[in-house]
Amino acid sequence: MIINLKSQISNLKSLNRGFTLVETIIYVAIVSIILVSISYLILDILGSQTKNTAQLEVSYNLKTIANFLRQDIKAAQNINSLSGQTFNLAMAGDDITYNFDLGNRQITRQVGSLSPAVINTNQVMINGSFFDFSYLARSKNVGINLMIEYKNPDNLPDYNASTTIDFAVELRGRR
Amino acid sequence: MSNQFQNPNNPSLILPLDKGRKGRVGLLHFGFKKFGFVWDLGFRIFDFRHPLRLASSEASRRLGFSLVEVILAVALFGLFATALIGLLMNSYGSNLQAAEKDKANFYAQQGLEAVWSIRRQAWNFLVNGDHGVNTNAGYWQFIGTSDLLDDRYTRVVNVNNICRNASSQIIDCSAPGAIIDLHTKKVSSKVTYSAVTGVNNEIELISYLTTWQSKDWIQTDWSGGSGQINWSNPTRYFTDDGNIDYLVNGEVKLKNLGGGCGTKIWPFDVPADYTYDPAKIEVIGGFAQLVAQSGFIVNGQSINAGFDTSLTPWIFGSWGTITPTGSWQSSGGNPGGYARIQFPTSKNRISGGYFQQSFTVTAQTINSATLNLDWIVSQYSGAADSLVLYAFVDPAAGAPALGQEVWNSGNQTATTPWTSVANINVASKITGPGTYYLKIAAYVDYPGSNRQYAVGFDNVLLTWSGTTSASYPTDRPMIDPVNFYTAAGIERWSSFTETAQKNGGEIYYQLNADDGAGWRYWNGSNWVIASVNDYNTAAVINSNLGDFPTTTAKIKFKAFLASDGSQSVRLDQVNVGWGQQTGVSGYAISGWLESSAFNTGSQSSLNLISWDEETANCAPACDIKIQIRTAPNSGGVPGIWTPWFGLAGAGTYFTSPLEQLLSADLNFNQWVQYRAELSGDGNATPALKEIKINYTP
Repeated sequence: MIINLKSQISNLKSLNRGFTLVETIIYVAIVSIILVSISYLILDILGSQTKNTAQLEVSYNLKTIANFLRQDIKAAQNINSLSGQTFNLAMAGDDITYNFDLGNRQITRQVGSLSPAVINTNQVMINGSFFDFSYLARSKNVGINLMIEYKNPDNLPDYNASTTIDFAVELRGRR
Repeated sequence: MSNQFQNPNNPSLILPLDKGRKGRVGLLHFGFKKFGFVWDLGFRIFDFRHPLRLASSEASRRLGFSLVEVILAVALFGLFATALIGLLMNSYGSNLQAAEKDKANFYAQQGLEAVWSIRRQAWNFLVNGDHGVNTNAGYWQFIGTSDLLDDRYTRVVNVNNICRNASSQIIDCSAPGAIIDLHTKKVSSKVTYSAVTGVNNEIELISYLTTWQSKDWIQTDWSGGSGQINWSNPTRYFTDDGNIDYLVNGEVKLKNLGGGCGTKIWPFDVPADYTYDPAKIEVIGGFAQLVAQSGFIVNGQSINAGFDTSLTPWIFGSWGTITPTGSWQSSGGNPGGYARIQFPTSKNRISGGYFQQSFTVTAQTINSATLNLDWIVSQYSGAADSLVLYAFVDPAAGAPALGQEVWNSGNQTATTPWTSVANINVASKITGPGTYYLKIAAYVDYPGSNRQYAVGFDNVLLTWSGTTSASYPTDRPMIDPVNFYTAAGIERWSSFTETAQKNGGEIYYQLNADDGAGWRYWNGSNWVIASVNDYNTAAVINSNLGDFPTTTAKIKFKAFLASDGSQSVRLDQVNVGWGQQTGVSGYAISGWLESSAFNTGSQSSLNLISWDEETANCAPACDIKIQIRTAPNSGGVPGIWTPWFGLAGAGTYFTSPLEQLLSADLNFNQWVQYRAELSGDGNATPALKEIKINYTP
């Protein structure tokens, strides 16, 4: 009985004796593959988040700026002046001036004699121009070419996001 | 013990997965013990027939994982990872799609804004159908049927009619009772594009545009009559052809001429209705007249200024109480010959002598007239009470009247050398064309003692320059209507009258019946073919018109305006009367009127026309047709009118009283005028009750 017990213990010991080299190598290989895959996955997640952030910032600015321009132009009574980078609208209240500040790559909106307010976020650069598509004294129409670019001083691929859009708005505050 | 594991509870079960195992890897193997069993949660294939049998204490010794387990594990991991990456990609892709959709939305919105702009330019620019829009001309225009933007967004702007029911609700145009509302348009701006995912996407924005900024010019009453050129009194109009009955308030109709007859009036109000040579005849302000040819420069002068060989044509004359002698002297002049007036020895007398010659002025207006002369007192035997030399330009011959002179020397008290006087202005003495007399004279008031005097003139020259009066063509230029007048149902021509201002000239006529014979005149007994110089006065035509053929029921005239050059001849109106067949109640068969010119106040676009008419009592013979024209502003009055426009363009008519779109060619003028043409069968008349022109200032 004791012998039998010993024999059984001996068998158990032989079963728990550790990893063979082959097992370890296979194990390390598998774990490496998995870890590398996970790493790539994490990098991908981080990268796409960055891309999304840049893209969303551009989209957000586009919508905000376009909304400002649309609302003001629609409500305007007349175009007092318009040149490539600036135009002035006659409103029921104070005049409104928009200006593409090409030096600072931003767009400003000025109401009356108040200081011009920058209407883009500081994470983007703005460029563009205005056009007068009016017809005789009948149709008053402002065309806008707007370019928005995410600030990317180090030129990182993940931060490349920009959009250029053309749109036009008819003045409706006239009659 | 073999290396095969024998389940103690089922010795026959051998787990081949454990074959050849030398040891176990427990790291990824876990389980727990409960209810006396080790529950194996490791990666292994269970024996589903006896799952619990594996979990004996002995079985727990064999926990670990096999190659299949590893493959499965990697496969599962791969699946999860792929799904996760796919999600991430989708997330990024959806952002890109959102950006694309934003852009498509911008372009669709831009399409609508373009139509807004075009609507403001002119309502009638909104032509139904698919359009592209662009600003190549500096403003929004419909160009083509679609636009391709950024090489991937296709934009189509569609304009279409909308229909409404009796409650003015917008309904489908195919629905019963649907009526097209020309004051509203449905505009859709559709942008289609292929997304990053390769799926075809579409953005469509829809808007309804109306003519809410428009105004109406409405006339419902014409009872004030004609003669109002520009609209101020809403009951009046500009002109008609005499066949219009405007007396009933609220309508215009064809006139009941009574007795079944009619009158055709040619009013000379529209130049294009007549054929003529515009260099010789002009049609303006409701009449035709000869064109004045502008005057030309003429000049002339007196003759024999230097008296070199004789006095001719100078004639001597005198007045006073002693007669002087006028003579030609062959020498002693300045130089050569000269004219001398010798006053004889006398005292206490007065004496005047003069030379005169006539000259003819042909200018209507004198631009300049000057006189040069040389004079001398050659004998002065002692002091006179006065001795004065004169020059006159008189309209009559004979002794001059002192005080009317154009020049005098002042009192002379001694002999003088030859003295020249230049550029004496005598223009005030020449008042128009005619004969005038140039006179050079001297007058002496003798003293109480006997004295003798002599004076001389030389180089006496008067020159004048001026412009002749305007003249008129003398070759009898002609004018005739472009179209024949047709008197439906005519029995005979009854009268031919003219309204004219002839100023001594005359107007002659030929007639044409459009029967192939050409122009005719009355030769005293018949209407015969006329040569170039055969024509009659209106009175002769009128007397013999009853014999003019009526087979074609057509007539037109050719008027010759005759002037001697000075006579302004003007023809205001020609009327031809005719009698109808019996049995006709006597309404004019046709008639027209033209409205006053309506000032819209600015460069307007014209939208729609509609009118209210009553034609049921004589349809289909009765009809009303309308034309519209516009003119720019010219100093507060209409400038040059466009041609008359109808539904299909210039020269056509609007024939339906329902609202119809006006031509874009009428846009952007300030003045509007309509012309209504009424036609009937002679038994009844249509009636125009209201006319409405919709415009956007």
